[in-house]
Amino acid sequence: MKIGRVKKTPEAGFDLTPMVDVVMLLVIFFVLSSQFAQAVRKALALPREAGEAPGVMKPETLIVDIERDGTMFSGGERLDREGFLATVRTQIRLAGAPEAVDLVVRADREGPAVHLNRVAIDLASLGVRSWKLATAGDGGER
Amino acid sequence: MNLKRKKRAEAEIPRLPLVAMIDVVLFILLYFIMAGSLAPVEQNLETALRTDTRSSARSEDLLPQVLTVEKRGEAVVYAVGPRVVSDREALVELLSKLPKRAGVAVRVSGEVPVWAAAGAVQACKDAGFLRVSYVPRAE
Repeated sequence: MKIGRVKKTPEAGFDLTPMVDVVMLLVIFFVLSSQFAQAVRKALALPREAGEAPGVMKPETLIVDIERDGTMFSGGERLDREGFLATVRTQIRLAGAPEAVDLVVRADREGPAVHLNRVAIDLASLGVRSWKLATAGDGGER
Repeated sequence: MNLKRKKRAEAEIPRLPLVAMIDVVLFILLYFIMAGSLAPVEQNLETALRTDTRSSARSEDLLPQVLTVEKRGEAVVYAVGPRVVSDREALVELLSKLPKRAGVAVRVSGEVPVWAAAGAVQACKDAGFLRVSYVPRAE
């Protein structure tokens, strides 16, 4: 018969502190490096041209998507012509001048250029004479 | 006199239950790894063409070289003055011979597809033009 005191067996445990530190740092890295702006862009078949090396996309860059039928979207929201003009006017006000507006037009490559022309004419009427046409970067369309 | 052995009060180390937090953090990490790996693909594919728009009424006064992109029948053609070409290589070759200093205006008909308009602007850049203006044809 055992009468002596029962020895408490020590509980095995991992020191999780360094792992939690590393995981937290990784989470912060991915949160900061992910580009959420792209999530609201429309899935469009862009013209396959080499274009120019894309610079750093500024947060204030206005991105306008034009679908094949001419429907316009910006920031995931559908825009009519008035809405588009109002958005560009707001952008001009925020930038300080029409020349300072940073604008990227993403147009479906198979759509007629008439929609792109309409946007270009509207931009010119507001004084925005410099804009970018997004391409897929494959190089050499047809 | 108290002969009884004093019970030493063992100071217990407080422990935080971290298991649930680690679960959540790992899920968040997994989400960002998945989302982060997808985003750069489109970014790498996308490049931009810088274009300057000018109203069609003023384009000829400002820019001496005018490249017209239009449809003739079912085909897309590129015209520089009287010279008309229908493929990209010939267009780049034609544009390469032109003086570059004043730049070029690309007049785009609304009938042509966007790829032809972008292709014309790209051809101008490939030919060595630094100043390429996109001129929408009023229709």
